[in-house]
Amino acid sequence: MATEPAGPNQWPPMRTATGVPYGTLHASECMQAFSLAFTYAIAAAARCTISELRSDVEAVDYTVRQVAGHRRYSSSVVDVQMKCTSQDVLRDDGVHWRLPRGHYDALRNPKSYNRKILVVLLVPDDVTQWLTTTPEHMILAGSAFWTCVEGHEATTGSSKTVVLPRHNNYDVEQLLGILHRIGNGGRP
Amino acid sequence: MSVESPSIQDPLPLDVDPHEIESFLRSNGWQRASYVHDVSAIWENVRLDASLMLPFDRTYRDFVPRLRDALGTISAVHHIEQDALPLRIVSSQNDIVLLRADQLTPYDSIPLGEAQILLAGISRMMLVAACSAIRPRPSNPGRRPSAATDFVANDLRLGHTLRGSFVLPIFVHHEDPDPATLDQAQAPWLTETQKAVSGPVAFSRQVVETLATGLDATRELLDPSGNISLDEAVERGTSAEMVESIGAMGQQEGVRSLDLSFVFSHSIPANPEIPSRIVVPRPEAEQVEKTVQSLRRRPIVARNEVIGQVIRLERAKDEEGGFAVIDGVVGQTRRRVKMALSGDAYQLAIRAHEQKVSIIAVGEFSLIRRSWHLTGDTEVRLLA
Repeated sequence: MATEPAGPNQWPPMRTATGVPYGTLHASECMQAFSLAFTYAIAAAARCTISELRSDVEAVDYTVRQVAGHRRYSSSVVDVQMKCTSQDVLRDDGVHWRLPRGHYDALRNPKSYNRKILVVLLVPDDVTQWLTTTPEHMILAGSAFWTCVEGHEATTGSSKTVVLPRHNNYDVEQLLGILHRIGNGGRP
Repeated sequence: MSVESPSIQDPLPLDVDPHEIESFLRSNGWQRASYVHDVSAIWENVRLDASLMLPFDRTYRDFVPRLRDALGTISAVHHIEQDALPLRIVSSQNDIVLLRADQLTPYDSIPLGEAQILLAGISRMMLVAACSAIRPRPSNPGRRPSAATDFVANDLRLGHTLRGSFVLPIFVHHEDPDPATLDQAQAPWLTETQKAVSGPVAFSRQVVETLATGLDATRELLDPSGNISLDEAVERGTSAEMVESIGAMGQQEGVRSLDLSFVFSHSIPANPEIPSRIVVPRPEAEQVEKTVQSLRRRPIVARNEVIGQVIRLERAKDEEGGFAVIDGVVGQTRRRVKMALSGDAYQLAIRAHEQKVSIIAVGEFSLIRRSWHLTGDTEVRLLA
């Protein structure tokens, strides 16, 4: 792999072991795209649908619905805001994630028709480790954690660090559990 | 099936009021299954196997996307194009009058002055149509009935112009109709068309119908080869002011014709004899002036008559007289009117009620608190 100096949000130019150059997408855009791949993989494996997808380099926002058809109303829906990072934010109790106050207030505001959760996807620092493909498998490297801060106390500071507990893994089973609890009138 | 739900590419119109959406749902066979006051409601349509959540509280963070979800469901279930959805929803409780000036629109624009004249013209026509709906007259000098001015002030709204056009939509709001209905079998004085409309028609609908028939008659009056009489045109709702308004709007530079369409709300059965579209070609200024002057010269008959049957009597405390409620027709309009009677007139009303014979009642029409009254110098006589 070439080791040329890289600018902010940039990886140095890279080549495969056989010398073929990689693309030039910036790190943040790679994370955004990888978040989308992760999102669709989880939703598809859970047999759920994604709607209202909006993405930028800061976050990917979408709504997960358990009921596929749109002719019937279902309360089993959850709004997801997903962040992706390779930073070292995982501690013993979970992911520590800093939110600007305005963002935190939006997530903690209980006045919304859909319940909402924050998901943080942790990926390796080395992009070449993100994806492993074999004749039998495709493995997306990374782990995601979630939390719901609706109803939490306001902050007086300019930001708030929220904890996404280690046991809150954002996977197929937990996503379905979230939707099930919401569908029964509960919290995520 | 795609893991991605169908998303709405073009933003749906989000300035539709949720309560108007409820009126639309109700009139299309939906039922409200649950309701949280001022927050949300769940609506179901069992026959169409559909349900939706309707949000009410705009302070909720996701009010807009949830309203969009509800509109998307309505669009899909009822096969309504997104562009047509606002009008369809509004028309559940409103008649819609669509005014368009057929003309060239360079740079997708019309002169500002013309836009002002179109708005002023349609507003004036609604007012005089309301006057004619109360009592047809060739002109309306002086003070207009308060029912007409109240109608213009309270029941008319200008909607958004339709995308890509200069069509002005005027919404005519209907209140809930009078629930009292008459057994049609006991109304032999009604025509088949009038019988098709169950019960007296709301005043707001009468105004729209009078506007439509009046404009149609105006079109004939302004046609040099037309042969409609002034009296017939007035009976159908034409007035000097209506002709003047058509003249002012139609004589703007570049205007080829005035095109008015009527979308009748399903909340009130439509009268099939009322035209749903009238196109008035650009009128000749001389013909307009001549017609206006002819109408202004016609004498104004202050008193009108209603022909029908006495359906209810209310005795006054002094027992010398009372009130009679007559269900009948005024010109071509079905109307239920109340009038105070005493002495021989009241006795005649009693006999007519007992024998179920038709009468003619004459007086001045007034609309008081949504009820028609015959006032002034009144008289009643049996229909010969």
